Amino acid sequence: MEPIFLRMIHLSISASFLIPAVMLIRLILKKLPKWIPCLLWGIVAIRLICPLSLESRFSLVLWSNPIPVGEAHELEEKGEHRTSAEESYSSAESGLEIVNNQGTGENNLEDYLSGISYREESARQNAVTHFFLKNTHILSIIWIVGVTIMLLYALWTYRALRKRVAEAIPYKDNIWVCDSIDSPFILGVVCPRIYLPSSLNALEVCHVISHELVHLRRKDPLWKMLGFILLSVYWFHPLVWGAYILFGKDIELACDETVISDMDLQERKAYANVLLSSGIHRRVVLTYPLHFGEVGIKARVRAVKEYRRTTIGVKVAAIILCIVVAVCFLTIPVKPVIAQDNSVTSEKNIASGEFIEGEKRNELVCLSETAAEDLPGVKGEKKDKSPVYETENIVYEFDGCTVEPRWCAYDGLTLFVGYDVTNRKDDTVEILVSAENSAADTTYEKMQSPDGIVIMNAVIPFACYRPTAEIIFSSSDHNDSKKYCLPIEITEGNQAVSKDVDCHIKLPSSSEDIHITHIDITKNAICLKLDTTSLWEDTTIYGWKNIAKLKNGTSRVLSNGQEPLVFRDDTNLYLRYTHSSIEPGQISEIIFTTEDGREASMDISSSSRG
Amino acid sequence: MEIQLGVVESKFADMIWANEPVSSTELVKMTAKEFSWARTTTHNVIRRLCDKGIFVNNKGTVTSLISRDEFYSMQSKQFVEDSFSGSLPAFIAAFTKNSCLSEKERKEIRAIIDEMEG
Repeated sequence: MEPIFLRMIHLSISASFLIPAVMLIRLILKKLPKWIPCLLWGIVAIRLICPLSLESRFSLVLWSNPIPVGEAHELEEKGEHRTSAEESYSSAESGLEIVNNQGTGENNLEDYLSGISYREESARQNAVTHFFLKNTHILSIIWIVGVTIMLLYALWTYRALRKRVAEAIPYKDNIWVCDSIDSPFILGVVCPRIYLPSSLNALEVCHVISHELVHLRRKDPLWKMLGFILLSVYWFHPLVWGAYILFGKDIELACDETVISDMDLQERKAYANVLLSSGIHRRVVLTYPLHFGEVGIKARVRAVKEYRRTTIGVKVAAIILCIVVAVCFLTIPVKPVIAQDNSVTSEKNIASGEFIEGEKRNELVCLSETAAEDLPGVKGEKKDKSPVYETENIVYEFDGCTVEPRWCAYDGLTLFVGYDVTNRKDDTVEILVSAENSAADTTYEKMQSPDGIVIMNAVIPFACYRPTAEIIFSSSDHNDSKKYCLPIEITEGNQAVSKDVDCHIKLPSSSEDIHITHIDITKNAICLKLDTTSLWEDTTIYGWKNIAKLKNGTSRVLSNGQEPLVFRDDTNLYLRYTHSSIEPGQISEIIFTTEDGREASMDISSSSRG
Repeated sequence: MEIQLGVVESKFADMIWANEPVSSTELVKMTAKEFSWARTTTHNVIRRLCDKGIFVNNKGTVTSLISRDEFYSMQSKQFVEDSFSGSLPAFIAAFTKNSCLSEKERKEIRAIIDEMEG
């Protein structure tokens, strides 16, 4: 139920843009025939029902950061992946699209920059989504209770009305006459009956019947009921109530228009007189059974007076208007993508640095807001404060113990996982975690709880950015061949920069350049991909101290001044640095400093591009 | 003594007057055929008319206490009394009980209708 609730909250947020727009149009274009607002309300209904949205540049929906449905799900076990529909929903719609290696984003600077400001906006939105995520359970219970109350109320009033008209006498076809009602109405949707109060005179009867018959012809009972069902679902949303009330009024006026569309002036005057003299109750309709409250005699009479036949031109304009509204409000804005340069050509040579001989950089503002030991090094990397997946009710059974994963957080370069091990035998069994393509060995932190459960926190580093990972739990007991896989995605809130670059750094000692081809930056790590493996033996790179320069002019020392981790695969070397919680988009340069003080810098902010 | 009968009630009363003395089961059959009424509905209306003092239900047989002619002549007298010597506010209230429009509003609306041109 909770995913439904969250999807519905998301829909109601985008409806909050659509409904006021429709109300505004309705106000401005009062002269239009009333079936047009009815169509617009139909678009509102579509918005409230249909959870899919296309992206469009023309979208006027200003807040579309949906609450990621993935967060409310429990992670699934071994081998079972989420359905592709859910996968695409949660990854495609989480605030800011992370660059994949096969990404489709536009490759330009504007998108990159707008990605930054979009992220600040979505940080604010994130606070609200956080609220919903934390309280999902209780909120969805309240919601379901509200829906039930609404539906029960509708049922109750329906039964009450049926009792009221028990003593009705058939008049003609499905038209009945009843003493105990004050105004005419239609009851029932499948087999609708028109009920007339017995106090109508002959002229009134004639016009009222034509009015109600037109209601039946236009299937208004059905639309009204649909509207009420939507109202029950969105009972908490004041704009939806406003929409429902206005929708009811528009239905009445549209019905009047149809009735008089075939009448000449004299007949219309007579109709208006009937409206006036019958003095039918003015009541706003809130309930399911078609107790059509009248709009207000004055408004109806005025509408009758001002009725003009619609021309083809108006009809066409109306259709265009509906299409425009649909495009603007049934779509969501195109999400900016952090710039990714897919092609590495010589024009995109973002940075080339050379060692600056002889110059020493004197000022190194090492901003460590946290104490030095908090700068994450390789050992003991602390878990990020960003939202993590909480896993519940996953239990992995091994021969000697039971493992329960508790939480995990993943930002693309570093995977943190916390799990509990309950040992059955006296000898403790070690449970190891790893991930495919992880760069180095996992580091562990182990604690023992009073009741004998071993609490493990593990950090798995990667050499390059991966949007998804699989945690593999295996036992150190070699007799136990079980392995469990837990697939996870980037945790929401973890943004990253992943770029191909083309940066050459000359080594003083050899003629070979260091050629950096790719850089991945997350909030805790920076990985550089070098397109050579021959430097594996060269210890020079181990001695480098690297500094990240930020856009606001400050600098941070990477890896706490220590060496980077260096990994290698068949064709590439990877240098992995750590830092403490720098926003990836804030890094403008990376400065390499050798032991003897020479330095080169790599510009990654792409502001040097024209 | 003022007795109000709605249109539907009048029709039913006519049915009883035309067929009295008549058993309630017989009435049930007739209303089912003519009005599509349920059994309980018919019994409810019978009881109400008896409470109003027009008919009486004696062990399942319904007979009238007031004849049809008597009843309608009473109605006319009642109407005249109310119109002229009864309480005026009550009369106006009864007359306008189905209307929510003030006099001013009626004038305005009538003006709108009169302005209508083709």
